[in-house]
Amino acid sequence: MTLTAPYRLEYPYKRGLGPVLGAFFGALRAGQLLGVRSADGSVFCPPTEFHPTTAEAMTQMVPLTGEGVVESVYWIARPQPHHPLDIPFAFVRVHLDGSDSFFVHVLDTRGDSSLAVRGLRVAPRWRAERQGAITDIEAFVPLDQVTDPVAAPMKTMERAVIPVELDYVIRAGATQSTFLKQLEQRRLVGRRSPVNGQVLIPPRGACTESGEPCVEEVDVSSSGVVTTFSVIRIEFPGQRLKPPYVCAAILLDGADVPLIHLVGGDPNDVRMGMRVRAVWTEEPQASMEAIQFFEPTGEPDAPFDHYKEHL
Amino acid sequence: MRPVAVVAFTHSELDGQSVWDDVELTQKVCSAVRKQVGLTQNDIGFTVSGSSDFLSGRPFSFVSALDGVGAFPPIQESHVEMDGAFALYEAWVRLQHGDIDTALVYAFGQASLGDLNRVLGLQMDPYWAAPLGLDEEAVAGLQAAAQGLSGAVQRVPLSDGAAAIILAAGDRALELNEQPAWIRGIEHRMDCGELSQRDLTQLNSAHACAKALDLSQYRIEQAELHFNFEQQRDLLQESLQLSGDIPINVGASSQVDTYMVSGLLRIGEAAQAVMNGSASTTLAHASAGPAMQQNLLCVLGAKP
Repeated sequence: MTLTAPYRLEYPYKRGLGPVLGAFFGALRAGQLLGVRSADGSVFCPPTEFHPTTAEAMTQMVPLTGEGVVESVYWIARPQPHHPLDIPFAFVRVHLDGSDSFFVHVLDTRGDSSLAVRGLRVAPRWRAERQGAITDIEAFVPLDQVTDPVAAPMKTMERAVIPVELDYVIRAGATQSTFLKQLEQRRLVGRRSPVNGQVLIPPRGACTESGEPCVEEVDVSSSGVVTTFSVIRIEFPGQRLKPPYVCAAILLDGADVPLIHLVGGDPNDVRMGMRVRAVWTEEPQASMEAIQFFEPTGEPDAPFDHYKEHL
Repeated sequence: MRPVAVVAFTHSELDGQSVWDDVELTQKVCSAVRKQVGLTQNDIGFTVSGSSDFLSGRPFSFVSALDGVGAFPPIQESHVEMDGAFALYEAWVRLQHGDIDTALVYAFGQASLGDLNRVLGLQMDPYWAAPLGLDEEAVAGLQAAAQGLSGAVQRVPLSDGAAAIILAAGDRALELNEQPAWIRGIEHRMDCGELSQRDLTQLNSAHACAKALDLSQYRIEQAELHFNFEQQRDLLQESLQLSGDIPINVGASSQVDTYMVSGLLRIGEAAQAVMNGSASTTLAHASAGPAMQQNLLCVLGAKP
């Protein structure tokens, strides 16, 4: 069976806005919707810097009342965690009064799907605390539920922080699952290429030169030689050693490609050719983290000729 | 134009969640498709793939997948962050240069690693669409609503998988396959990326492809179309002005959506029908982007 693990991607994007989007987001923070007018008099909201068909640059911002009429509706009966409301709601395209485009947003009818229909007149429900984001409008609501936004000064914004996160359950596949389970038994097992005879570790689904599947397993030593290395001096989340420490390419005895791992101890002592051995964690685990780091063995350094073909 | 044909096509199992990683999937389809025509990777003039890092959540996943191709001695290689059908378009252009005669095109995708509905929300505008939690289903739902339909939209079932095709030009195609599937025409176009500025009741880019191909000149006997939601089938048929009596999605692999691979699979199925003699002219279609923003059409025939 293939091994799986939860995995989260997060990007804390800080996006530059420029004059058109900067004005739009600054106005949202102030509780106002702005569109952009083209030379032919068309108004687009949200505003884009260029006309969709003529590519003309557009810069003239115009205020809109925020009121409009629902053009299309998609009802979300069971909201999911990434959705903006936790009660049933609709995604809508709203034809804002005074604009010639469709504003895509959220419609809150307090869970009543019968109200969420094409032709409904709506206006924004503004958040009290606004930061200059599309979500400063909590939702569009029927006109009888509209309240005026808490006023705030209008100022163009330069940047918007728009984080993104995604959750995965990653799978190791057949070859790497076998390798990781062997690590749990404190074995380092590579695979021999049927074409060039080289032993790859970690093993891949195929020989990296020929693309042929590597089936033959080869036990590899947990000791080897540092071929090249880099000293890590900056801190970042997820580090397992305190900087400064060494990240090294280590050619294990019996392997033909170096394995990337950490070297413990004083970075000033680390050098090309230095012999090192794996320090295993106390608890066995099916992970590269089964090896805490590598430590010097104290044996004489390997000559350059030993690893020059494996750099 | 230099005549170019599909000479070989294969795909992995397409039965939902895969047990393989990207390298293993790629390895299986690339070695199998080369074997069909007796070629090694050294015989291939150009290699190009289509995939998306966002499916596996790994940066440069297409680079590591190259392990499954056999990239030494160094090969001429390229990648598009799009469905494999668009990679095939690049290979077709590359073969027009005239200095090489063969190309390998492959695509892989494992949508089951993440939440595809959510992942595809992030292909929307990052300023005002993605932060709303607008996802693939909601965009398809707004498109259906614009068409006048109501109720929840039905997604075509997803599968993980990979596919590979070999293209060959001119006489080389006939050496490799007695009945190649000749590319009679291939075009791709796209609509405005801004959802607020699109008429969602029209697939203008699909229509533009059909017009550029002069699609009505062909007697299409089978069409393999790529849509992710059932209601998009009608929209597409209308945009292409396809006659209602043309059989659609006859191919076994066309019953599922193998995200990032589906378009290449449709081309493969349309080509297979020509190569096995069951049709003399077929149409393949690929789409990508929110509410089918991008479209590609490929007409395949028994004669160049």
